[in-house]
Amino acid sequence: MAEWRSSDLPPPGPILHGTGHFLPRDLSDQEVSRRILDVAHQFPRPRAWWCLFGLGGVLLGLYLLSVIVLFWNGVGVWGNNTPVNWAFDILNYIWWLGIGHAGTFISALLLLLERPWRNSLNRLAELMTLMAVVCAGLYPILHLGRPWLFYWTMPYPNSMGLWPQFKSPTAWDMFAVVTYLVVSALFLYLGALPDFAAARDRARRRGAQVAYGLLALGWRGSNRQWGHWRRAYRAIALLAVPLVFAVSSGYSFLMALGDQAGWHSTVFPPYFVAGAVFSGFALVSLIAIGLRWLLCIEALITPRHLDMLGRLLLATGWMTAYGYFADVFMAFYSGDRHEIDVTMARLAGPTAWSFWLAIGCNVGLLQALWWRRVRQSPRALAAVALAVLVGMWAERFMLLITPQTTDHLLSAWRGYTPSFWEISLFIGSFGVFIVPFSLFIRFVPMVSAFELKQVLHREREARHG
Amino acid sequence: MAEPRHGLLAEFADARALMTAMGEARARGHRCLEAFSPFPLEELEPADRRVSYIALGGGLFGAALGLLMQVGGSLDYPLDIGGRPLLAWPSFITVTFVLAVLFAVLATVLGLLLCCRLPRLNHPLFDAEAFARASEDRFLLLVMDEPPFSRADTAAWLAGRALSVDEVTL
Repeated sequence: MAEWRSSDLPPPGPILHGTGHFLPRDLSDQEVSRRILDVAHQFPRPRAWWCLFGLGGVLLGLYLLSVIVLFWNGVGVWGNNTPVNWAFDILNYIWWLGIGHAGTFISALLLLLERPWRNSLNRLAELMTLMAVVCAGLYPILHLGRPWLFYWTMPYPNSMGLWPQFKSPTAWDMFAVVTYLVVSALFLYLGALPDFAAARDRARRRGAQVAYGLLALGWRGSNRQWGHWRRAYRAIALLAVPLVFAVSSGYSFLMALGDQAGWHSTVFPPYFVAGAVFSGFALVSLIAIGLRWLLCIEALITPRHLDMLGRLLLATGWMTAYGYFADVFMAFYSGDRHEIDVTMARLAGPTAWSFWLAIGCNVGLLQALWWRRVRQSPRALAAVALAVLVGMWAERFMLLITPQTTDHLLSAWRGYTPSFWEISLFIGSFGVFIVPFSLFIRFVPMVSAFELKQVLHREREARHG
Repeated sequence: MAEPRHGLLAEFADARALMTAMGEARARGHRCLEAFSPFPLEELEPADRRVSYIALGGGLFGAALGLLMQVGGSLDYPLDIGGRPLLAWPSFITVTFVLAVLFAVLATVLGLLLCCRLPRLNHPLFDAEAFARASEDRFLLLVMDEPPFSRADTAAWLAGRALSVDEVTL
């Protein structure tokens, strides 16, 4: 076990390597394989892993219990009311789905822009995307009231002669989420295929050989196969980037296309894209910081990678801040009495805490990232990332719930308090995220080994001319 | 069953050696060559764009399907909402685009599997001892038995460059 500890590596201090990949220059291909692929049969920190898995299991149990209670009683166990028809269900749906988008951005966009440092982060970010989309996708099904009829949202020939209402954003949303789920899963699998082949060739136990062999589909890594693979991978990346915009604009239309004051704004689609990617970068940072410790791969995810994540957080945070500004400004500029009332409710009403929590976390605390020492310190970056996740959740609350509490008719104004089962479902949804994620940590190479070898090779070639 | 084909599998320690050997083998007149590496080497990839065309085809099919489905659905079950047009084209953009992406990606993955002849879980090459490290840190060159291949000559030529040379039967 001793050779697993990171202490025998040069201390990963805040060294700014003059490379594009931020990795130690003398890292050999064999060492990369050993650090990434041997995790499956010799896990470096099994006790910590069991703690994580156990926590996930408990949360998943809470989730299942909340779902059973929900199905038994109906959505009446939640705090939703009239006029607050959309509450935790849609709020958490948007929050989870938004988180997913950062994975696609890191993976696909940075691949197309040829940023070599992406290769330390893409696999964990893609896994995060997949899990987040699953957590999000379950919410609309649960909130249907008659969840067993969810397939009615799909277009299929039926005896009722009915079709989905294709002019409604709720129908668009179903297509967008299903597509996003399929595309993220395939992108992840295709990107991991050569690593499964490497794990197959390295495995010594029969069971592992068979499992990785099946996953690798018989990949041989010939020049022809690599040529096709690279074209296919880049094609999917090229399709995935606009898909992110389509999906997150898609669910902003759920709100922006309605006539509710406080939702009915053209700033919503870009505002939602920025906020989605922002919250996702926060979770990617947290996971990267956790994994480099859990898997002892501080040499592969260096402080310089964290630095880049911090910069991305700061940049997307400012884009989100512009959204806050534009949203408030347009309300007052419109001169519409009800729009101004809703905005005042956001700023000073009973749920104003959500607005100020969002501003405090997403704009205030975020500014700590201007300092390199904060960006490169795992603890400090994790603290800011956690604050951003909380802040983004508060933002979704402020955007979604506050306008509904101040409806068009003064007589319909009503507050909203989430019920116990609503809160437990949300907390439990972290179990839906953690349980499969921790299994992936255990059995799937969490860093793209072959892409690291590729960037190391390229750098060596460039150096030796 | 086709005649078993023979070839020589040479193992190199780094990518540069593999690329040089492949270039020299081409210069010697060998046409039936295949290189294996743990990561993509763009210099060795053949210019085969089939996957891109399959992706394009899938995307066009998905877009057409999405648009036709929405138009068909709206005409088959007309709903007059506030006198708005039955075929409201701007509202069809999202689903058309999303389905184009979905089918393009599905076609890309299927195209990749078709072009790579995968899944094929076993392959005679996996029996070669050197092949186990082709996914880790070794670079292999397969020279097939086609003129100007001569077992003794080609083997001697490869042995002068490679770490090891194996005979394989495919």
